[in-house]
Amino acid sequence: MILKALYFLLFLFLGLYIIIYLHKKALAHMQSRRGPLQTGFHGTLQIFSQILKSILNWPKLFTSLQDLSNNIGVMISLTFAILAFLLIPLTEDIFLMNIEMSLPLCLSFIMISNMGAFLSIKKVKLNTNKMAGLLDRISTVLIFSIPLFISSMGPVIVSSSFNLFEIVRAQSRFYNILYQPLSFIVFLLSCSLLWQRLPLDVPLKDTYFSTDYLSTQTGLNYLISTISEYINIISLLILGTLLYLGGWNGPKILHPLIWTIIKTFILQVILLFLYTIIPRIRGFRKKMNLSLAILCLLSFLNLLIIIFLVLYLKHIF
Amino acid sequence: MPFGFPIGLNIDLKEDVVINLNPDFGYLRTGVEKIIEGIEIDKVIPFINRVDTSSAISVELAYCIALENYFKIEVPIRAKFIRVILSELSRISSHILFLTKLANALGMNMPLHYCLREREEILHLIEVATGSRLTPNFVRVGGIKSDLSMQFFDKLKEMLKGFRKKVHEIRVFFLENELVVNRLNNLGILVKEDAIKLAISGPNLRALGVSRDIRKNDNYEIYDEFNFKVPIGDRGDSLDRCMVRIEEIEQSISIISQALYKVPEGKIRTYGVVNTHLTENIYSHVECPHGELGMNISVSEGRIAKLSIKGPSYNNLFAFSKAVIGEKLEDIELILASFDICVCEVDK
Repeated sequence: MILKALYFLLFLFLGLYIIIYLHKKALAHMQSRRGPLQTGFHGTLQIFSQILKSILNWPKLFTSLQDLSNNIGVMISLTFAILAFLLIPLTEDIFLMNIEMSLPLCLSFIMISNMGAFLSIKKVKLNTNKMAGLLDRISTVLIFSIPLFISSMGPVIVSSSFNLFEIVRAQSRFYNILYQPLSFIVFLLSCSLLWQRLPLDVPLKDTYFSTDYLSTQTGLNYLISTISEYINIISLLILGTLLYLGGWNGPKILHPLIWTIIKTFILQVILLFLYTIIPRIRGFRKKMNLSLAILCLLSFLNLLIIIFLVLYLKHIF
Repeated sequence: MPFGFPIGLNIDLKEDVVINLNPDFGYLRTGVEKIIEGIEIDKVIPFINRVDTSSAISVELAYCIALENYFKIEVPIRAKFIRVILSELSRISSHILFLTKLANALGMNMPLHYCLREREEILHLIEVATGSRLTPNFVRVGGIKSDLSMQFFDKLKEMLKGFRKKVHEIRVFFLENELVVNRLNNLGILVKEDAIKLAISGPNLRALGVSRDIRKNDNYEIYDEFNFKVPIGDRGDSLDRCMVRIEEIEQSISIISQALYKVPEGKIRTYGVVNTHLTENIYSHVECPHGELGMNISVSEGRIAKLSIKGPSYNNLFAFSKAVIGEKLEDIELILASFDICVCEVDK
């Protein structure tokens, strides 16, 4: 079990490295920039050097009592992000835990991980802008978690199980994306919020507050909070693959794990395109409208369609 | 320092709607008008082009035209053509900088970097011509500092070949993208009466439908020799301000491509007789990318006795504070970006 967990963590860190590099380099090329070039071949070692630099600042970790709650918040973020990742199966054989309620548990862990930043409120409260930004961040996470949960119920109804294995097995004939495109779009948009990037959320520079609450974090704290953010991205993307793109199902030319990786990569590229192309959603009120009026409505509509299909056209599945 | 602009904004709000806005500026004050008093007229240009670094050629041009009118110096035709080419290049560069600011306020990363790439091309050309990207120190009283090389003209021709396509790309990003159009439409509308009371000028005035361009109305330099339109808007909202500037880029390209094939051979500078006994003031103005840039100069004994600069951004800043009333708090950044205010020109 421990060995398996270590393998999982190794896979996670490799994925992290690749995804962070992709965010730096692929994004740069989309924006007609060159991206990192200096450290290593085409800047491949830059992430490593940044991690090293942050680790060397570790004595700043426990400097005062005021920092303690902040540190706990950061650790909560990381712990729950890793826990959420460990719950996700990568193929039929490669998994760490097989829990009946793995989907809701996984989503809840990702939410808790996002809430970890809230514990840095003590440090942030000295600055009005940062405080406002943090509250904005937390409230948007709360708001967008609602359509995320509702949309993920579609695949659950089809497979009649909260277990991720069952959800993937139910897609052996048709992938969920074929008859639940609405749910997929809602899931993807909500993911892009939890990604903390454009177009749905910019914690570092919102439209009217310079909400750089993350600038309160230094050294190792900043590294951990950033890494937990990226782990959440990976978890959400793999979840999206399992829920809508059939997970490891695919022609048997390739290993199932490679199918999971390819599909996750495709989702990541779609999100990167959204990031570069779509302008920022204006203000908090628009976000509320988008989440509660549009996305929730769409996901409920999707649920109704799916319930109808399951009740009356069950032979399709 | 809101949104990267070094100005303060005192905002009165009712819920999240702006009731009143007072700009608080002066953080970039250099006192350039006072500094250059008593300096010889030819040595003033390096000071004065720092008034507006986004289009420094226009500032130099305004200063030199004022003195040429003052001393009645006739500028050689070749120098006039070169001045027009460079000032239009700096207009394109300034308008592209405006678009990057707008893209940043919109939260669109891709157009921002695309615009910066095009601007880099223009700045490189200005560097080839003058030796400096932002503060050229190139225009002189009676002409220009040095003649342009064939290398510059070749590069300019090469640039013009593909640049129209790139401008079309920018147009698609900003004016044919439904998300951007919906965001900018009916945002920050400026009433025509307010605009005239505040004496605003340039693209912000033309966005209201007023066709006033000093290049057409006053025909300074040799602008009467070129065919170009003055783009005007309709309602005076942020979309119109953006549209007018993008169309001005197209018109500037047209002016440059006309000028490029008309540049005659000849001298580049006339050394006029500096009459030291004149004491009256003289006012001269040019159309800089932000609007009307005026200079009021008096000279005594070959040195500047008094110089006052009337920049367009000062008036535009107050027009912004009028246009923002009734809008939401989260739109302030976008409206401020749509007015293209050069803060160093406001503070001087």
